[in-house]
Amino acid sequence: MISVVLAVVSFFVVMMALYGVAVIERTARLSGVGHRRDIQPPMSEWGTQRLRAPGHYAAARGLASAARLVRARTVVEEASAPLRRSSRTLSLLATASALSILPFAGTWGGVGTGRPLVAVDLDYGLGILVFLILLSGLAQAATGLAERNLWARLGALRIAGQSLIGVALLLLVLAPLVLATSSLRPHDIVLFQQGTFAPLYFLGGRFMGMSFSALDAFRLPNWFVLRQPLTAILIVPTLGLLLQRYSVYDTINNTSGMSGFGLDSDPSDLYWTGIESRLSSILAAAIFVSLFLGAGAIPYFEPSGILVRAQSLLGVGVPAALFFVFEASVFVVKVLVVLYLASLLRRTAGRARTDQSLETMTRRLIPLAWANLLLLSALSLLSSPTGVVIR
Amino acid sequence: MLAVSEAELMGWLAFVSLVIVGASIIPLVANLLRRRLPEHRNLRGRVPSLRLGQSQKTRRSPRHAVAAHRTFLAGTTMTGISLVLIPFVGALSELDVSGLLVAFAFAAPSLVVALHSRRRDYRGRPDA
Repeated sequence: MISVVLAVVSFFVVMMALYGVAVIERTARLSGVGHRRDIQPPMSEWGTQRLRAPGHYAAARGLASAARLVRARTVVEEASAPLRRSSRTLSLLATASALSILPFAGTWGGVGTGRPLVAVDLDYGLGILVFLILLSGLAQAATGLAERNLWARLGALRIAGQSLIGVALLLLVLAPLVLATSSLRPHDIVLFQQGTFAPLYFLGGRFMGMSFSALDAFRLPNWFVLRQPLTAILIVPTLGLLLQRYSVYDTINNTSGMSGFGLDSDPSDLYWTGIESRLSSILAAAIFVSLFLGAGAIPYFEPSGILVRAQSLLGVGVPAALFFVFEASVFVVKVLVVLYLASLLRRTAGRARTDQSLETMTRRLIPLAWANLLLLSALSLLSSPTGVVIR
Repeated sequence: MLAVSEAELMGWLAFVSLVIVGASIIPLVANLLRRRLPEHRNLRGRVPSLRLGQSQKTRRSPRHAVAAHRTFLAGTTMTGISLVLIPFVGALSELDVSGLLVAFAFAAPSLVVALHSRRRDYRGRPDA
């Protein structure tokens, strides 16, 4: 029963993130013309606002999109509708399943023995997560194979290549986290990130015979983005290349994209492409928040003291539930911040061609990921026999 | 060790069902409305598939190539799963996560040598 409740809460978390993605896309679409006074709409006759076209307003756009869905469907000759439908379903299932594996907070009641706050708690969740991401990418390629033209097949090859190489890179990038926590369970990785660590511990008390024990007092949150910065930097392009969906109507860049499968001016196809694309963005952000930003944890905040004091007034269940809602909200805020930064990055950075991105992955990022893995393994081997714990 | 408990299965089912139902509500309502429309509004528009050029070659549908490509991708996926994933999961369930360190100790030296001895690409360099 508790897992169903957690699934419902996870669903609401995803729904809030979906709304946030829509707002971020809208902000991205409308920004960038504020400084162009010559293309601004005229001022309204009354009031201080501008006279904008109806398409400017979010409610009007939403209504128009919903109304377009009622229009008659288009059917493309020589396209395999069952393959397209089944690959879309598979992609959606894989993305939703991957989202269900990711924990959005620590444990129930903030104690180590509490129930993990995740819809599906799997011991080998990280391996299954990688497999589901690969499945989702290959389902995208299958959507392209449903069409019988050269360009769709080239696009399918591009996505299949990116997925296969991206998954190899993802495995290399996630390996240091697995080695640090000795677990493939996402919940263990989230628990590991609670608390703080002293980044300058190695200077303490032994630098040129002088005492630097005060450096131990300088502590940072135990998040992997601070513990393993290179891993965190490497996972950004990896997730971007694996989970970024190209579509003709690119709402972030507000341009025509490289290609889009199965759009054909059919609003229903456009709707499903949009949902899948937004869920993929949320999945990428949720992976980053869960594995690198400590999920719903707040830095330098220890909840157990407050919870114990609240238990004397409200009992055991209510403070734990309130804290649970609080952590879920923090998780949503972190996901939205990551999504906003990612949209800024996408608008700022140029879009690489397929061959350029594949070459960057195979010749630059994979060797860097191996070097990072070697470095972190060496550091962990050096620190463990002497009894020094990096925490 | 890889068995999934009933609670986790229920959680997965509930979450995935909610996401699918939540995403399908708007198209389902639109579908219902479309069925209520008069017959002439409900006809499906047929559009030709994308072709660049009008020659006999470009107009011909590459059925065999598409079928071969689908078979290739399906074969690659199934081979990948059977050759890599199943032994990986089996070994992991036997050896636990510490098996990863052992595998890494075997793979890393050969990879370093392979990366070091790879063929360099001298295109575009003036002294090539």
